[in-house]
Amino acid sequence: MELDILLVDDSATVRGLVARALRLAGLPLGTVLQAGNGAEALEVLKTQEVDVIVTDIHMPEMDGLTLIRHLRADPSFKDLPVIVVSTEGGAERIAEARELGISAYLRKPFKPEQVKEAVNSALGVVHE
Amino acid sequence: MDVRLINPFLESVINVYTTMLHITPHRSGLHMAQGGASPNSLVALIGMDGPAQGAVALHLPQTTALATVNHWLGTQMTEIDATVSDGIAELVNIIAGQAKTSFSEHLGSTVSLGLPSVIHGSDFQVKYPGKATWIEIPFESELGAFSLRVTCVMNEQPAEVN
Repeated sequence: MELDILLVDDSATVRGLVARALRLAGLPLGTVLQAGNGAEALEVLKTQEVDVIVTDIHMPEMDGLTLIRHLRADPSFKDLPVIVVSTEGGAERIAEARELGISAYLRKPFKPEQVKEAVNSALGVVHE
Repeated sequence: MDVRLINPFLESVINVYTTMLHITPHRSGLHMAQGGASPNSLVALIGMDGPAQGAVALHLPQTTALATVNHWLGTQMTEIDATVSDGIAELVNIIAGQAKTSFSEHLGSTVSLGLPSVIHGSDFQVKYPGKATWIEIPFESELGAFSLRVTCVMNEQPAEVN
């Protein structure tokens, strides 16, 4: 099964880095969609279906936590797995993200294997 | 600046390069530095605030910057462009972000970080206001030489209210 993923980060370079890490981890990637912030991600989701979202927290216009709140409030996306990838390591911020029902919180730097583990774990949650 | 405070940054550089770039950089010294940058280099800067005020700067010759981002992204870029600058900005962001935790523990209070910015040129000085000096840690790596500079001054603790 190929995985369709939406990468959300305000830096195109960082989106490229995460996409490369996913490929290096050996994940069977299908379509890799990209968005520059939470609002763009919601626009993408109006027309495209994805299996997992990988998002940063700090972004202009709409940050990652606000994006997750929107997703959880929408019956169509309330169970969509979300992985947060961030340099932010504060316990409060991580707890806030976890309360919103994220599947995993990856703190940079991360190894490709950790991304793979997070994606597999996220998909496991979906299939439970 | 207490030179012992540099350890979290030193450890972070090695950890970030090893984990994300699969490269082990080797420290080749430690010394005080002025604000000057090498010709044709990139400097990625990120500010610190809170109990300590200062900045973290990653200095890379242009060739090292290109080799680093090409290695990281799997690309073959030959000129410094927005992608290279973004990549180097992300690198200093991750290095400072990881160092922040143990640096804050040393200080007993949490340091906050600003957004990274990148300067590219051939004749410029990076100066920090006040009398703070930069401590420079040069590194050698298979992607080329680079260095990390850190400057900070401790903010005075607010007086206790009885």
